[in-house]
Amino acid sequence: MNVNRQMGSDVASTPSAPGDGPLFARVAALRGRLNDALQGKERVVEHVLTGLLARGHILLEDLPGLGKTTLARALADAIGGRFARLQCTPDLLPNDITGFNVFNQKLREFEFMPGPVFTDVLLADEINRATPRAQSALLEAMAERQVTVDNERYALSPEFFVIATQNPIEHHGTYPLPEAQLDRFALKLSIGYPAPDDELRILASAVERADEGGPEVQTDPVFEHGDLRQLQGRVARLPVAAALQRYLVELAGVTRAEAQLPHGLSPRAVLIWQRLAQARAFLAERSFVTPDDIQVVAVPLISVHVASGQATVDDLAGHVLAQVPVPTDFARRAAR
Amino acid sequence: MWPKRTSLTQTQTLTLLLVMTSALAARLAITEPGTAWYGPLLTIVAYAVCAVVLAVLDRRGGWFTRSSSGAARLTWAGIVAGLLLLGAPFAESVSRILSTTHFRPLEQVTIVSLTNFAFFAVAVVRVRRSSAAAAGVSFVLLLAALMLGGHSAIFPLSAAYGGLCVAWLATRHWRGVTTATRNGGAARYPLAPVLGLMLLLAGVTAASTRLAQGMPEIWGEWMPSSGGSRWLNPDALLGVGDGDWVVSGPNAKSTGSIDSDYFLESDLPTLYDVMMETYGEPRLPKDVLRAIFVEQEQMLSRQGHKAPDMGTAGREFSLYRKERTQRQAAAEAADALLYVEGRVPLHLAMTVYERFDGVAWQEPRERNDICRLEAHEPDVSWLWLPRRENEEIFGGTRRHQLRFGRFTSDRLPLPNHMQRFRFGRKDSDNVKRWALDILTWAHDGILRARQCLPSGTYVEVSSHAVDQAVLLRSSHLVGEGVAGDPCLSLPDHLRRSTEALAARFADHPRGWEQVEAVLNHLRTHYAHDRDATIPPTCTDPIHHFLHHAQGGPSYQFATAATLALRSLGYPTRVVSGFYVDPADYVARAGNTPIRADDAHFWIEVRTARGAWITFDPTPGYPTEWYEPTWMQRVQRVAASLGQLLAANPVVSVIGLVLSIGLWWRRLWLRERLLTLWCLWWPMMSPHRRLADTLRLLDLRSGLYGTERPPAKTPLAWYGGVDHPACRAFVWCLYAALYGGGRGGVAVELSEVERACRAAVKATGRERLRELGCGS
Repeated sequence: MNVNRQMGSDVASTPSAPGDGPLFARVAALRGRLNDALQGKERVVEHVLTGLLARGHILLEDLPGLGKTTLARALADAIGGRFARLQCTPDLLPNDITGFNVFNQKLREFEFMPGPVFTDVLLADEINRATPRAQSALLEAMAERQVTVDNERYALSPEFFVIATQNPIEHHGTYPLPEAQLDRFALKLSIGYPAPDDELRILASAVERADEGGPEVQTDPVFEHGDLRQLQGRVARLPVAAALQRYLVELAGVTRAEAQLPHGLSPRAVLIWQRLAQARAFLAERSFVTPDDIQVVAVPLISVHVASGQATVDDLAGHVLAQVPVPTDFARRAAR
Repeated sequence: MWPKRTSLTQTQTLTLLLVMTSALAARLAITEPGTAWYGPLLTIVAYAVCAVVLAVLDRRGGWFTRSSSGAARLTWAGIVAGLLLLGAPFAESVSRILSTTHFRPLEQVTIVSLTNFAFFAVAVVRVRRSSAAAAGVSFVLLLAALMLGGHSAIFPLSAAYGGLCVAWLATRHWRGVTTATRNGGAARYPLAPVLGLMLLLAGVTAASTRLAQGMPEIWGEWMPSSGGSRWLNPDALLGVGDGDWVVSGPNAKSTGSIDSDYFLESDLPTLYDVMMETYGEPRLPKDVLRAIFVEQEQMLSRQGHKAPDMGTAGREFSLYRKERTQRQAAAEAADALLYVEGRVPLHLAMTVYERFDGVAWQEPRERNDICRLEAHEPDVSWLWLPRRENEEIFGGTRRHQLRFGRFTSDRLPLPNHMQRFRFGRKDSDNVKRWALDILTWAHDGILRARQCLPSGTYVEVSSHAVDQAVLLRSSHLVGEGVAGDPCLSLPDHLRRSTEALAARFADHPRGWEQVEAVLNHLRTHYAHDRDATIPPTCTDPIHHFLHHAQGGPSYQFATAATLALRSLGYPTRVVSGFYVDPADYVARAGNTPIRADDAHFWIEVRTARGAWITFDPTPGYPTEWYEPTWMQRVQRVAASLGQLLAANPVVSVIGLVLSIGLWWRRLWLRERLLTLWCLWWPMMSPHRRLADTLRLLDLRSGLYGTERPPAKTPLAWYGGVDHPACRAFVWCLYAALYGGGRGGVAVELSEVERACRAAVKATGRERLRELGCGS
């Protein structure tokens, strides 16, 4: 149940900043485009939008053929940026990702050939098939939005955003992502099989499109140049009540004290959690963050940051959330 | 909502109950047989209260358990070590306040320390495995209680412990299951199987209780140093500390092993000590007997610090004085007449005087009645005096032990209102028969022996103590004089001076307060001077005392007080004997020696039922009134409350029924009151209004459906209520709670009012009933 959107639609007098109207319209259009591309998966789409606005990279973990690549492509097309795809294999080298220097015979000097990371949306397909060496080449790019090649630093696009996919059931020739790599991701999502009705609709629409002879999906961008940056900046400035920040810290403390977990949430993960909650509030067209925003992103966030590979991540997130009371006390808030 | 946050969790409550049960059993096992049962119980309850307070503080503030740094761990280790090492003296002092039992042995200190640790572990449940540690320690405590045996309540307690263990394990297991299953919140606690298992366990335990009576003996065989306690097993012997009991006990043939190393080093009396001729003497510690080498110069310098000799010329004195050492005190005590153990001050009467001719007091003729004494089961060593009827002024009994030193009188100095006594610890039929042979009544309450009691005779006396508060209230008990009563006789020539004194108090109402007023006048206006004498030229000593000397020795005070009280119509007599002064107490020997200069005079006033109440008119000589324990004070308050209720039965019953009903429906009542408050109380800030409405919704959801868990957001819980007013209210709440920051959302009071009222009206029983079932 998407409580935020329900709430947003219920309350007529949703307060928001005056200039946010066109931004909301573009987000709504993006949402519509993604829902068209991946039918019946509003929840996943909402999480992907959250990650995008929060500048948090997304790890999609699911079986082949469930639409991971379709979703990533549709996103890249819709935000109108450059899109690059990286098909990870065991023989992928770091320089294949970051780029390399080539000696230009004509100019008698080295010339930098940028790799696929110099893009706006990077789809790293089957990321767990790359060797750890290649995986760690992505570390700097994801965390600092820059790469260093031969002691030369190159800045990436400010909107740089990674959607990585991995296949959970094959183990031959795969290298599980190290903790350092996982911590750079904001969310881990799995798409899951569509409901029977949605599957019927997918089948029908495939035939329709073949009849029309048109392209499979729309490719014209929804965003204009600079829109994504503006949105991300708007989300980062959304106010968060002090009580909720304390709530986040208490939740992180619970994960650190929890005996079932090998380690707790890092401060970076807590920072990402707050950003995700802000993005969630913005997607609900609200001007402040509520505890529901924090709780709704808990499962994908915890699953990538502390509970990677654990089957019962839903219960684990529920357990962590159940440990900390929601701050609903005025006096308590005022006293501290 | 802080009450939710700060109450104990279910596991914590169960762990607390476990620890309380086993700690109570252990406490009962180590108390002396015959001690009041409520002492240990109150100690444990006090412990539990401390643990709950600590737990609440910990949950609210997280003082102890939030950090996990190395320094915090070190602090932890320090706290635990401190509890184990230092907790015992604290607990011992608590138990001394609650009961008069003293205990020191190692196993008891260990039990106390483990109890401290267990309660502490219950309190800090956030620490990993703390509740498991508490439960484990409680098991050890229970085992210790069963091994030490003793109290009959231990077996029911262990049965209860077993039941609680089942519940504890079930709860722990259930918590794990709830965490592991997806929709654990909707499932129910398996109450019926757990209850059934507990009943089964209780039944088996109850059935085997008869068998269990012999368990201390069985365990005693396993543990060579433990023989159980004598309370359950009369033949049990501990080896150390058995001397008194073996000699005085009913089974003189019992023996124990006495040649262990511990026995030789122990300070406690043993069988071996009984055979020593110094048994019962004040024990000299071993280090006193050791020779001390002191350099000659030091000895010389110390000699200059003596008190000045006033008899010689060329006097000098030093500002240094040596303290009166315990050794000196012991040496002075060695030639005492009598040694008194027990509560002091105390007046020991030996002679009474009734007739006064203006100069001399005369003792009435001795009665020399045969003592009619009785022995009662179960302890036949005690000789009981005939019962008296004026028991309402007695607060309780006190017990004293008198050991005779160089005492040469045939009168026995005994406390007033004697209830029973016995000779010696090694009492037997022979001693008793001998006692009956030689004892006669000299006067009312004064025993006389046909021959002087030999030095070392040991008399244990139990007597009633008069409660001053009760006495002052019961003015109807003042004795009335009859014609010719020697205790009211007053020489005519003294009438004028004493009546002048008595006239000052004529406006006081007749009763004990008037008596006290007379005595207080003497105590405050006259000075005690032990060595004052009447000049030979004086013909009226009383007049001299009252008007010229303004002071004198104690017999002057007693005489003046007696005459004044007699002229006011109180039957009074003068008593002489010994005053046991608390200042003479010798701590090492544990007794108070009485010397010849402790002889003293005081007075006794007769009640309407013939008992004589001790009063002391001399300043600086307090009377031994009864001191109620705080338990008795509580009982008195409870009794007066009960009397109040019994006086108004109809009101009491109505009040009781009403309060039970209100307690039964307290949630409902709170909900009604809060509803009225939210709907009708006009002046409130928006924040207050929103907080109260949220509290009301939480209360109602708990009452009608499932209460909102504190970790669930209001929207996730009340968003499911099928009414838009609820969501509007949550929106207002959110805007006020979280939107109030920079660039915040302004919430109008009128909007809040509207939303809150609508929400209160919209969340009826029907709408809330389905709440929480699906989540």
